Amino acid sequence: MKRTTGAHLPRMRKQNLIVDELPDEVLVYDLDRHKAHCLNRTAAMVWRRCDGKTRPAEIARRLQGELDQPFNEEMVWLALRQLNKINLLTEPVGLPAKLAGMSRREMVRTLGIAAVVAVPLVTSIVSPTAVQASTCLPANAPCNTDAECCSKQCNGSPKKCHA
Amino acid sequence: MSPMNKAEKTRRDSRLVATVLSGSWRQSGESLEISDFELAEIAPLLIQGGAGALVWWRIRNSELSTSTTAKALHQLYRLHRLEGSLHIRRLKRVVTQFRAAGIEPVLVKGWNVARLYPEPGLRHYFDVDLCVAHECYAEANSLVASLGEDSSYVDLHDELDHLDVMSWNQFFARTQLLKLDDTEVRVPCAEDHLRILSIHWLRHGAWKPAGLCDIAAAVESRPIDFDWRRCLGPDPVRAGWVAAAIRLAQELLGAEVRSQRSEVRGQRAKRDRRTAKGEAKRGEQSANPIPLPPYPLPLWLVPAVLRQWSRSLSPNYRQQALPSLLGNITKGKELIGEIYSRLDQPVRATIAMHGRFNNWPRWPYQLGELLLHSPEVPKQLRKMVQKFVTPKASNNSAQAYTLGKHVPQTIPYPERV
Repeated sequence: MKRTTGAHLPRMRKQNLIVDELPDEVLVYDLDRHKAHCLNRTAAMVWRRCDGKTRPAEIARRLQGELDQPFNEEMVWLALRQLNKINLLTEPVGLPAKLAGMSRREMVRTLGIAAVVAVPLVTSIVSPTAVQASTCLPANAPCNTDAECCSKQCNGSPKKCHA
Repeated sequence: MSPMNKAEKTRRDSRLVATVLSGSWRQSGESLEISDFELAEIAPLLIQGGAGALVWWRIRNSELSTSTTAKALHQLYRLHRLEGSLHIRRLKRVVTQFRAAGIEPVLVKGWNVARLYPEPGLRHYFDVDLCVAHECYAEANSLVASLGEDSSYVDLHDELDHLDVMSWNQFFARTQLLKLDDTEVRVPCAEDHLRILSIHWLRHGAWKPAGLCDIAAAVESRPIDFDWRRCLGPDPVRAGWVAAAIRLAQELLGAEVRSQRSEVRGQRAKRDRRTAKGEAKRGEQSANPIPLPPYPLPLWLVPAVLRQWSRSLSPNYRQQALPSLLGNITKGKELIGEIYSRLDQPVRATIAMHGRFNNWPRWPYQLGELLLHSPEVPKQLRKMVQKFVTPKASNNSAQAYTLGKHVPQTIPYPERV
């Protein structure tokens, strides 16, 4: 597959990172940028295989064997794109022309249903606020409708949830 | 919602907090009978009370684990794990620097509590609380100031400071060295640490449910030869405080005081004892440790703690009294709420006035504590004037006060990728 830019093979960044491996995911803290990320199992597997020598097609072939399920080159590119974005590769890797300019959602759609099972996913870890953790809003939280409040009472001016 | 309903809801919510945290520090907890809606309702209390990740641990294998609330709690767990790793790196760096300068620090709380939990990330902590001998304190202070970024995380204590009243030499002689990767960290013996944790939690008004989980975890992971007499200490008033905190852990969270709950953790504690290098000879220790003496909880104590949990706000993190009260002077309900939440601190007041936990009324202690704080009034007035004259500078100082001190935000919580 022809790449749009760059001739580097992907290499994982190791410097100034705290990496915590959990059974289903890998947590990464970037000490340079002070950002925390969570790589799902597939994304972490791709990242681990970025040794600067292996081509994405080869990574896909190896992972297909290990995961025992369909895993194509586009899925590797999807992971690389996300790893690129959060600076977990030593140098940026150019996307193939076919995938360049696509959003992550469009890429997943292109990959089809088979990819959904093992789609590589990288998310930033954001501290939930108390309100976000609650499916309803607590007392005194700004609201628009009764349904948003735990008390089911949204009134006053400005509108707030009542206790 | 009528006032009675609100009071009932408050009681129910804080009881629910106790229920979901019951046994949450153990490797495998009992199944939890709580609905998604109930969990969502108490989630703010759990997060503010430092117990969000612990609850995720408890529900991780249940049907609740797919709920929106559980996902948020899972995020907290992930963050706490990474913060824990950062904390350990920092701790190792700081301890190494202290040793290089010829100062032997003793770590209290922090990692020494987190290691009692089955997984890293279940207990959230920021500061590195280090105690040093009085003769080293000035040098240690200069060293901390030179630590750069790490300095803001170090909470240095001149010997035991406000943490305990026992002599430094006696305390230090009982400490032990624990292995932390390639470093050794000196920590208090299990008895002293449980006493420090208990009194520290009460001194802060018992507002944080996670603090009681720490006490429960420390109780259940105590070594086989744990000496309750040594833990309670010689002062009967302070012994009563410690016993009260432990009984609260038993009553509210189901901590097992009579027997060693976890064999694995018991073995770990035993191993810690074996690896201890600096621990004093325990000649006075009996072969059959004395059980915790019976200590009936005063009737007011459990409701008072539950009221704190339903507020879930550190008394120390509140805005200064005068600005807050004067700011709400025209808002009757808010003003009454502010006054009540400041006065309704029977646990903190009893500790501040060195009172006993018994069934006598608490108001004399609460009044006494109020008088203790009266010298702050001129300072607060001065700050209000400063705020009026230079609003920007004053806002910054108000922020610093609200946080109690500079709390560094280890991970500045970025936007989703």
